[in-house]
Amino acid sequence: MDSSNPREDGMNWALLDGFCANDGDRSFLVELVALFELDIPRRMAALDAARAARDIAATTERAHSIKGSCGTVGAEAMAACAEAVELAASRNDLRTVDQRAAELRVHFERAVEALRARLR
Amino acid sequence: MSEGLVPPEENLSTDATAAPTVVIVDDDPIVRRMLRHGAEQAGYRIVEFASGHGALSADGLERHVICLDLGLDDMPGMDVINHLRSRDAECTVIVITARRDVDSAVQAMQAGAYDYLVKPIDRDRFVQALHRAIERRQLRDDLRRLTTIRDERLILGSIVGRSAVMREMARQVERVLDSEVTVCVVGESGTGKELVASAIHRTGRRRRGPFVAINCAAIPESLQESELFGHERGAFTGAAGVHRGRFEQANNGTLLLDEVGEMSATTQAALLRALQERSIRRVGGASEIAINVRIVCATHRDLAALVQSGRFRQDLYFRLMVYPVQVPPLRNRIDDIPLLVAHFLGVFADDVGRRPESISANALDALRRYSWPGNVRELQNCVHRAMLACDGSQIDMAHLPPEVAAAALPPAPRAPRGSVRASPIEEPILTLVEMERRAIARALRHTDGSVSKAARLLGIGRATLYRRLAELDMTVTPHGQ
Repeated sequence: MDSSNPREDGMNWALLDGFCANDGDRSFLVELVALFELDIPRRMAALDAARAARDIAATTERAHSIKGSCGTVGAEAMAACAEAVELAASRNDLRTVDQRAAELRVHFERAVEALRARLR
Repeated sequence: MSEGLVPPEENLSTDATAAPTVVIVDDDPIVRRMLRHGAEQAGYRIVEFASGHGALSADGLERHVICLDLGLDDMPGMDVINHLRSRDAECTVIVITARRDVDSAVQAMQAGAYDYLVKPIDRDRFVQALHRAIERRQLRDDLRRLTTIRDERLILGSIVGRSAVMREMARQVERVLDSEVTVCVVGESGTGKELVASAIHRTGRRRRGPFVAINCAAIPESLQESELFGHERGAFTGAAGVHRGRFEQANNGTLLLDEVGEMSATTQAALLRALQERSIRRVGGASEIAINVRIVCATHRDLAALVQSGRFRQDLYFRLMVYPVQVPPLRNRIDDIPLLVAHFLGVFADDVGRRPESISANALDALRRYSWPGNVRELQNCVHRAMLACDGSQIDMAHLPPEVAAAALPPAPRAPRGSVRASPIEEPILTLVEMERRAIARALRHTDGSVSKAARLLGIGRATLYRRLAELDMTVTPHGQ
């Protein structure tokens, strides 16, 4: 697996490559990508619900959890965006929260595309 | 939040000798999947939990290596650490934290976590942390096992015995060495109850403190309280100065109440109060003195029966009989007799001025067959006497006390020269009572019924022979029986 430039696809492949350095890791990667595609939308929905309820604590918490998962698979651009939501929420800056939360979906689509491309 | 994605939790091995498992406690299924993959590739068995409560409800969790996310949904990670460490202070936890929560990681390390990983987790760093943690856990387990073996050896070291029953007793004692539990050592006279009590002290956590013993049977009732709790000057006639009692002497150590069943009713009440209040008052004194003493008691009596008959307080019985340890009688550990004999030969060598090198097979056989009502103490006296009686290098039947020698099997009759050897037929094994009966009858026949002469032949006193004749329901005729 080669490492692409993180600026282009928003991914830091070094982290994922570290976990997929051996033969036979493809099935793990397939499973991980499927898990990412299934789990992250649920969490983004939970974030939206917290935003809609103007629940600052829940918004901070949901954004924090999305940041952790995205960082773990190397989706750095999405992790940075989730962190921006988290920080804005902790400052009670709901306008920025809404702006950056909307960007999260774009980052998610890109990350999924990049991860799927890795599977081809 | 993500409970629906949690794979079924596997069972943790509760086998204390099995290799440690890596336990991942994280509510993020993506993180769990990544860590599972990394750990499995490194050759470890993995069990996952999506919540702190789920993890803590698993049996034996603390004996594995736990990778714990500090930011769990259901409870603070620090609480999970505290619960784990209350179960096992040496439990090995690697905490996982977000980059901006490094302060929590430091806090967790101070609370006893072994290592920490910052998200996003680097695979090499993760596997390295696992290797170190597993190695440390295994070293701790090995050390624990060695300590157990060492404790067993230390316990048995002073008690001389390798028989199964003694090893079981040592294991029983080992379980309470690191606690403050009151131990009651029960056994017949001469079995070595004080040695067991002393071993509990010497091997336990109070070994650096004093070990003080009091034999309640040897102290007159009127002095028991003063001996245990001390007295002030002028407390009673003859109390010329202040006397610190055994409780005070044993402070920060262990107090052995030997023959506790012989304690007077008044002293029992005072002892109960001291155990409840953890303080004593000297006889004639006005102030309370705090005490910190581990109590070990010993008795050859059936304390429960004494309670039934009203001679021992039931409330004190329950206080003392928290953890009974039974010391087996010597007749139940005859395999230890050769070891004990060798031990006593060494112990009395200086006293006797020489050391017989060995003991004959016949003599050893007699020692093994005798019933030892006086237990190890009787065997000790027997070996001492035999050493005094023995001029040569080997203790033989002739050197043993008659009652012990009588326990030996009679020598096999020699076949007449030139006769055809008969097929071997084993001598029937006789009971000790029957052997004694036959020995007495033979001696009386030999002395034409003279009890005095027969007693001399048997090596016992005339009164003893008369008593045994009555007990065995034997009569004396002028020509023996």
